[in-house]
Amino acid sequence: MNGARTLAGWLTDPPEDAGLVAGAERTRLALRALELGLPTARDEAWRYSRLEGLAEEELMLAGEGPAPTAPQLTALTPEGVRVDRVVVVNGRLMPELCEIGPLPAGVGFGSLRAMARAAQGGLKEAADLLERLDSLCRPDQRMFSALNTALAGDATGLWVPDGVRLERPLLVISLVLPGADALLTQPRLLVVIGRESQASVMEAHGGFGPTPYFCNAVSEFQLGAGARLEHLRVQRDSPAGRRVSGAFLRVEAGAHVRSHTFTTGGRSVRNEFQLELAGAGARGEVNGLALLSGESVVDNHTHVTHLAPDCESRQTFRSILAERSRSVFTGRILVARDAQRTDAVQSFAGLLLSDTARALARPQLEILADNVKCTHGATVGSLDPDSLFYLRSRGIPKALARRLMIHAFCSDMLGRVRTSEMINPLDRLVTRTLAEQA
Amino acid sequence: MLQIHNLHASVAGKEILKGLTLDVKPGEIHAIMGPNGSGKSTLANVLAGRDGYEVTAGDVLYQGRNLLDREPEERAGDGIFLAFQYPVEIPGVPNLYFLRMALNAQRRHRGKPEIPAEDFLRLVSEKLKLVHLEDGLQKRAVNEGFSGGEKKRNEIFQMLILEPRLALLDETDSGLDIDALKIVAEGVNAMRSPDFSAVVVTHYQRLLDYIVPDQVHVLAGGRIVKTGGRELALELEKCGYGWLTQEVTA
Repeated sequence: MNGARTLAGWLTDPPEDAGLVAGAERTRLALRALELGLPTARDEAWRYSRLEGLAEEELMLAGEGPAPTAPQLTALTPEGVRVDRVVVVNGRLMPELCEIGPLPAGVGFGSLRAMARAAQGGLKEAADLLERLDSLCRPDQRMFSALNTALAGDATGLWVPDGVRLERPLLVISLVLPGADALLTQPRLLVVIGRESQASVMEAHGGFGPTPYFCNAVSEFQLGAGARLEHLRVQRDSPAGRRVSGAFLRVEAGAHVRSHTFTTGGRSVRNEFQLELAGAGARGEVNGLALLSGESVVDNHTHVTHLAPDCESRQTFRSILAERSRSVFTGRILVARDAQRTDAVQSFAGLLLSDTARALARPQLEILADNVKCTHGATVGSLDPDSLFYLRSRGIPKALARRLMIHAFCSDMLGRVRTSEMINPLDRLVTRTLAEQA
Repeated sequence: MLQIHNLHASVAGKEILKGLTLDVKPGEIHAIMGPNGSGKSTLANVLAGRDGYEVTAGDVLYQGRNLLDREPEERAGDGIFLAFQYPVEIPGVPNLYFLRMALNAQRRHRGKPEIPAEDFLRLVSEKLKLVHLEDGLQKRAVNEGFSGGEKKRNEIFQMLILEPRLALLDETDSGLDIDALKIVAEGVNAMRSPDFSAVVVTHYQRLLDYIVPDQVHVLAGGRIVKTGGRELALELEKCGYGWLTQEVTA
């Protein structure tokens, strides 16, 4: 049994069984994470995330957790629909809670550690998947990626070979259930979708209880040519939870990815999105909806890179901010010299429900090609009093009219989701969150 | 039905209504005419309970009860309907969803159960025919992408669904061609009954060819300066408001 230590303490002397890579590589990444260090208040890109005091905080390295309650598990599971799911509690896979039905031939879904054993046993697909670990999340430049690879207990892997269409969505439920001690958890997801294949993957992250925790999530997605992926991510953190969440997506020629992140709660949630449109005609959509109240902060950073011609990117972010919550959106689009006929759109809208809520949008465009269409827009406002009066004048009580308008503000975000099984659970989440905040 | 006595109201500190008195009995339709800035829309908004309109003196009784301390939604639940001069577009809220929510909220207010979905849809298709609106529009967001005439007809459609006791029509005729004007009038006439009253605020007497009022009032300088039958509207059409406002200032 380990006692609590600081992040540096864990990195200096990692426990034997931690980490997704072994031996010298693990040691190298731990040292690299130490070298890079946590961002400080002087770090411009991090000045809005609330990571103060994290370096000094004594954390338990996630390990065995209590069994989650049924509501914690089912909150985000579509009702009456078969989905294959992996359940991770405090960073540890819970085999007894996983439900993975028969999958098409060649598809692998489950524990990355189990896959590593399979790879040693000679399973080529497992070896191929493991080879892609860390190939997008830049552990040599990004401290949180190095930290995750060096110390994560396990990860979830998905391998879809070429030409396979998965009919059912795959669900990864990742819960943080701290006991008395503050906790460090590091969910990790590695997804490889083969050429002309199709899948829908949902990550459901939840943190519960009054104990502080720091959750450092890393998800990597590679889409082969012509592949289709919808990635859904729901993050429901407790007011004591801090989260840094990275989604790294690389899309080859003609492939399409749609990634949606729904953030509710949390003391501080940092969402980083890295989208690389690497082959001609690739399309990527990155959407983020945050519903916040109290003192919550969401800090969304996107980094969309157009590397090839004729690619399309869409970024749509919405934040609904009650009480003293805050939202920051920093959206970066980089169009490489060869990425002619790029079509990139970025939009942020903030809805302030109180005088003390704040929203900030910072578009950053860097365009090196000459034939591109690149637009961005940001609006911040409060509920329109004329609309509110219109609804009330028809007999709809004020609180309900407000909820209706707030729901309307985010309805187009739900409307972008294509995985039909997930639309109702997401709508319920939004409705419930709004009701709780009312 | 509606008794207004010596009503004074201000908007942003400026007094607009300066002692307005009006008595609308059940079953009656009253037209309020008057020049721009005379306070016609202010009256409609004060009665519907819009924020920003401050009543500084006087009182308003609706069905024998003080109206002014009621919230807008309570007034609606009690049977008051305002047809907006400028209907609001509300993106993301489907028209029918909104209307069913409104109807059910009003029914709850009156202690009645919610309307079954089938009955509601039957009601909708019946009333849509009256106002000549396409079904498709109702699936869109409230007033979003509606033409000016469609918005006004949508107001009348909502009125027909919600079946108010007192309708306030705030320049519903403005910007309408003659066909749309007739449709609006037919909608109001379809509501006529001994229990239904309406206050029709209009700039032109044209609408009153189709909605025949029991009384016509001329509002000028925040007060009713003249009351008469429908012939007064015709007189105004001929002579304009000038001679009346001169009477007031004299």
